[in-house]
Amino acid sequence: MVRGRGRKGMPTPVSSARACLAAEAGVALDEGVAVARRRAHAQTTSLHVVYALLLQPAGGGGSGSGAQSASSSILRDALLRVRSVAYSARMQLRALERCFGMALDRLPSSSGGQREGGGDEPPVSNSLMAAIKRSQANQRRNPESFHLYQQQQQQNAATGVVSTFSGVKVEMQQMVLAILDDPIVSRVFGDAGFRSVDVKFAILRPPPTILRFPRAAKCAPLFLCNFSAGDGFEAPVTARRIAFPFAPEVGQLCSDGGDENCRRIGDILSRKGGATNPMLIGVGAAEAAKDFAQAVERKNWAILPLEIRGIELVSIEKLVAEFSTGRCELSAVDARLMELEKEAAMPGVVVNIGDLKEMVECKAECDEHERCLISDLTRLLEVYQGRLWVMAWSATYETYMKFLSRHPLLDKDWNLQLLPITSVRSGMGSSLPRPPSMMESFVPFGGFFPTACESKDIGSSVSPPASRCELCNDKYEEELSILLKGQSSSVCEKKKDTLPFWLQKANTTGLNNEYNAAQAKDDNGLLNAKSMELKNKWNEVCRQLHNCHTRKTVNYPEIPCTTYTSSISYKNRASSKVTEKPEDSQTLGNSLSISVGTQTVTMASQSISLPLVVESRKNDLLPKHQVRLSKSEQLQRVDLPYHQGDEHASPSSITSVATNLVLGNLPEPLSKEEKPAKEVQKSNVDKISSCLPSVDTAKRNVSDVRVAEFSCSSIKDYQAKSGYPVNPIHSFSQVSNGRASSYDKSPLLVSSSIMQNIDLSSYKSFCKSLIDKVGRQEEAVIAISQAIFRCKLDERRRGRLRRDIWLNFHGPDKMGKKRVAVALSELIHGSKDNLICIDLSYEDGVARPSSICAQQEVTEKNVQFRGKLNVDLIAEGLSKRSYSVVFLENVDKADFLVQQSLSQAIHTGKFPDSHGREFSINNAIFILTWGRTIDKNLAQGGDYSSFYEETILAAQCWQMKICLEACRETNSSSPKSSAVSFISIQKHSTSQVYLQSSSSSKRKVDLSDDCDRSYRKSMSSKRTHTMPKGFLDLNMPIEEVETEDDHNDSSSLKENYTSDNSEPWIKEFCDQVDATVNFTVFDFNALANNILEAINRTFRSTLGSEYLLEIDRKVMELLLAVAWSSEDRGPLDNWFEQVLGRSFRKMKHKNSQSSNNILKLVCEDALVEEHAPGVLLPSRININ
Amino acid sequence: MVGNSNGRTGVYGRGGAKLLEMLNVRMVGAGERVVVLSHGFGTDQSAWSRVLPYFLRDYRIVLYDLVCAGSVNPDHFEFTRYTTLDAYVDDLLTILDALGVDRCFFVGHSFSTMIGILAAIRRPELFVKLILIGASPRFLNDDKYHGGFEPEEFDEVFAAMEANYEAWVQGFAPLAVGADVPAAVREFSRTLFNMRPDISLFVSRMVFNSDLRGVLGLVTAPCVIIQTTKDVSVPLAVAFYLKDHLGGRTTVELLPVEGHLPHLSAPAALVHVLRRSLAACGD
Repeated sequence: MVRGRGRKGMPTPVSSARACLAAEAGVALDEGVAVARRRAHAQTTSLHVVYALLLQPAGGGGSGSGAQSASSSILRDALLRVRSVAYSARMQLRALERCFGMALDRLPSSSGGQREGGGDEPPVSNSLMAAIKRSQANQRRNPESFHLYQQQQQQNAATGVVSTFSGVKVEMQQMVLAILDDPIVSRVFGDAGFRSVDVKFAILRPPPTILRFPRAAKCAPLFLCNFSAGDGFEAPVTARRIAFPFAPEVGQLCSDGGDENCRRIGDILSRKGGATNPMLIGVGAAEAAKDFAQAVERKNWAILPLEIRGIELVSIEKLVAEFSTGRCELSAVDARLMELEKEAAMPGVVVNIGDLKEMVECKAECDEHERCLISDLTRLLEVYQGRLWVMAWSATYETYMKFLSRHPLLDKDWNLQLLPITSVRSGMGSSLPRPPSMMESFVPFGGFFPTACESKDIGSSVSPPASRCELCNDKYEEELSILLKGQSSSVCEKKKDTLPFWLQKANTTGLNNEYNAAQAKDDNGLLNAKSMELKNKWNEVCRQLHNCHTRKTVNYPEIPCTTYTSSISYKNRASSKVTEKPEDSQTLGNSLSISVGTQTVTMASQSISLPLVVESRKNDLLPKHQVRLSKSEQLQRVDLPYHQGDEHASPSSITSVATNLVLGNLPEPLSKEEKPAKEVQKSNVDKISSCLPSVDTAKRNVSDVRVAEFSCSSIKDYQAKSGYPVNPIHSFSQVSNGRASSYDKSPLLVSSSIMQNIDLSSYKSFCKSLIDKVGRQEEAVIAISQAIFRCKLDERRRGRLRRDIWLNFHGPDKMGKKRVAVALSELIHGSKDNLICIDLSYEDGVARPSSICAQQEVTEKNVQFRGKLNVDLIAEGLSKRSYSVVFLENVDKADFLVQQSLSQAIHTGKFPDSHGREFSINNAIFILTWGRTIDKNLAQGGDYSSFYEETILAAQCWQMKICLEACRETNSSSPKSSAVSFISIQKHSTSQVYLQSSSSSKRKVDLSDDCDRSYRKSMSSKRTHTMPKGFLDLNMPIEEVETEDDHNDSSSLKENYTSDNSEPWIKEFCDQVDATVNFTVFDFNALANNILEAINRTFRSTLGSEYLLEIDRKVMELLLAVAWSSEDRGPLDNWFEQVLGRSFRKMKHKNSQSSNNILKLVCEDALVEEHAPGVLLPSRININ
Repeated sequence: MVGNSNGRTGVYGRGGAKLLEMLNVRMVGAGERVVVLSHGFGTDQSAWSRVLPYFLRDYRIVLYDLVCAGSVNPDHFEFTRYTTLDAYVDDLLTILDALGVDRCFFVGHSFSTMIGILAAIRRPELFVKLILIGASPRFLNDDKYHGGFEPEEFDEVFAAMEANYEAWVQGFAPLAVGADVPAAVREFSRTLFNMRPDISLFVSRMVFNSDLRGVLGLVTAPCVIIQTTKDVSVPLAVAFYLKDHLGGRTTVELLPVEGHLPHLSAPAALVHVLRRSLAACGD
């Protein structure tokens, strides 16, 4: 430790800092000091050291030896490996140097040569010193240097020299690692587009050393891998193999468990009063007893307490053993006891009874002897209290209990102290030479080679911090990908958003920046500038609209921030101009182009130059659009004129603008130019066309002037509240909307931008779009629309600044509720991405993982979800997307934290996560669903032919098969009449497809049971498959026990859980939501009808009229589940036509000769292995 | 400092206050009933951070690091002392005494479950209930017992740890976490890698040389065994072995998740059971 070297608050003299460092690190420090001196800085900081390391040319040179160059390459090498692939190494490193140079420029220079610590050398700053100390501490913990440390100490001890530094000499790598932790350094790295964490990682994990450091390949494998292979520390390389301080004495140390046990026995014996007679129990008890006997015999007093040193041990084990043979010589015991009396002068005698098992298992006839012995011992113990002890051992507790049951109260009489002995000497633990088959033979710990995991880790660590919210990020990425594809297809897409910040800064700080010019010469220069432009733009959009930058403030150094503000204020001016003279369409056009320009080039100060910029960019974008448009339909083509019109602000663009906006997929007017790209990419024709009808209604519903007032006032409100300048472009769009008559815009435009703009007059169209999107539950949807509009109008219901909406969805139709949430998210926030979906009952997720409905919900995000608390997931979603729809299922099952957070959120408008951080829910809509309130009575007592949500939810994707029912002449007519009666197909007298219904309600019960059983079966078989072989035999029987247990448990669990103070919470919480909407039972029968019709069509067209098709109930449940849970019918209809149709045709071909047959479509007993495209149904149907 | 050649510092000689500092003992939460959370091998008290918030309102939580954890100064690890589980038990009991705890719930994970069991044997009056996550009295197989590992397997593990600790950590962590939860794997790798390799190896040897089967019956406190459906370190059979042999009233709770570290990989599921287990005991 370098204690007391530098006075507190004062910098440390260079010499004393250097004294903590190993040679090489010392050199690095000197270089840093030299930099500081050259720049006449008052102190040497971490920045100087890193800068010096960066300046050193990679191939030797510098002031040091060969080792020097290797060391400086630690950092360089790491940087090269973490840098973004998209740029040339040279450029990125230069940029990094520049950033450090600039950071150094900002440091104050010394005020005229009076420096602390004297000499020429600027003393070491406190933060650098702290880093050195940190690395010192770190190194001390590191076993690799541990032996060095010990060596050093031994030497010191041997020579009698008291070392000035009790600490270790810090080596290069450790120092670099510690310096990277210095916040000032990591900030500069951040500016340059590096994350210091990544750099650290790269330093700790060198690439395959054989390729890079031929020298390192010679090194023996080390702890903590070979990371210091390149650090030039030559001397101890050979010694490194011995990394354990105790390596030579491993065996000894492990058997020390014996010593420890002896100590414990000794501790008990030496107690004053109380229980002083040890009773060893445990698998290792025999060994412990033997160890103790040996220790006493060998007079190994060191491990025993002082008081009992010199005791003797008398073993009567043999005597006890003789009980069982029937020969009993009491005299022997007596003799021993006499001896004991004679030896009264000794500190004491321990009588070792040995294994209790012998006593317990002796035959009835020696009971007498045993009793005799025990009573004798009891007497003696009383007489020689404090000098006579008894000890015994037993491998198991059961034996001891048996012993006690034979001699009740003996534990009290003998003052027995139980001593559990748990350490076992098994002779293992010595490092035997590893068998070659290690990987195969050892599954549980088998992951000896880190490859897979490592790559995963690196991948995740590389993922860059987004400085935008997800929505903006997506758009940015889309645009960027277009840009990149246009420019160079070779650029790695994955890296597109790792654009280093210095690129942005270069541009924002001035276009004539020399660096920028240099960069333009680079191959990638143009592309970089453009992509940077994009990034900048989206960053800003995000900043202004979504106000989400706060959590990433670190990414924004001071300089760009100031530019932002200036540009914002500029735009404010522009917008105010617009507000003043909105009737002047010319102004409108201008301000449009201005606003577009301002987002593109932040530094814009003259509006004249701006359209040029816009145009040049458009030129890049347009060709792309055209290519894409060529294969799509008119809708998108409409966008194109709009696009051009936008530039010239010509009135011809107006209609297309309206169309575009009505689609409801456009979250901000800002993104107009990007819109087509996004549209095309999504290319979701169905959705677009489904929206179209609403355009018409909307247009008829032209908004009046009140809209403008409303939205304007709400904007002011918003501005005042957020304390953040409102995006002027935004307000522009509203103003123009307010003056809507000439623009003929739909009110939906308003809804498509931000919640707050929804107006009463647009209610009708909103409602209609919602109904269109959801396609069912009309009453509920109307109620929801009403509730939302009511909330919007009554802004103060939760206090001034609250705009969050809370809705309860009650009743059945899980999928319907979900669909409403999706639709709301799309309509109000413009995209499905703003939907946060979380099921709060963890049981549901695991209960039926393979059911169709569950699979439909599974997204890739789920991996990220795992291991996180629900409350944090919600908070995370809210932090990423402040404009979101939060859809929470099974709120009644919410855990305690979620309950708490929800309560707080509904009270205060802030949602706290598990760490207490709070996230605003101002613009969120919370949708809460409560359990599955299926009316059990209805479900059971109702018509057997109906389908129920529970069974549909549980439906799994079974393989199907079609089989031929032998011609049942007697029956052939009856199904026609009876079965068809069940479902309204009867109405179509031509229908040949009917649902199997020959069985009564009993059959239905059987079926579901069947389902359940096979589900379990499949589950358990699945489990056994995934289990390592070793588990198989043991687990199979337990599995059954478990499922039973599980069943019982879970039922009790549910009762328990609801009683776990959730009830009052649920009641209280429900009272506070804005509205409760009841969903009605989904009409599965109608859907089943619909499906039957569709099948009928296919069936008739392929097989003709002489066949009948009977569909098994299970198949229908499966089809219903698919139709119910998927958003559109397209894939399902496709499946009917292709998969089913193909099977019918094959069937026909096969049975061309037989006539009037009944085909049956049934489920097999296996789950589908291969799904048809786009739908969770089998890709083929077996034919039998 | 490492100088402990002049024998052990002594169980009772070690000051409670100093131990509290050494092992980063923290007491948090507002409730009256005390719950001790004891982490397992390869983690430290941060492993509980995901379940901790659920208990702060209703319980007073004692958190500490085992002496072998990466977050404890390795100088405190006395190779001569921590040769059996009892030394860890001493630490636990010393902490509880120093904090003035006279009655508590014990929640232990993995190797800490052994500590909890032994502590409850030694001081039955101290423990209301033991909640044991991923517990095993013995990791090695023998004739009648399936602990999950053959001795040879262990030699291989130890050899692997010795040869390249980091590589071993990288391989072991995902296996131990079991479920595909990247965040949990990262977290476990971090804490596992924080342990000094020699200590880590020493402790695992000690653990695998331990055998609690003979003493389970001495436990009188009620126990809850929380076991995941698939655990690389503990076969399911072990949970039922414990149920059969533990002296107190014992229940087995099967978590429908996978992995040895449910508090990292499936905290929500675990919290559910933990809360129930803690509440079920009308103390």
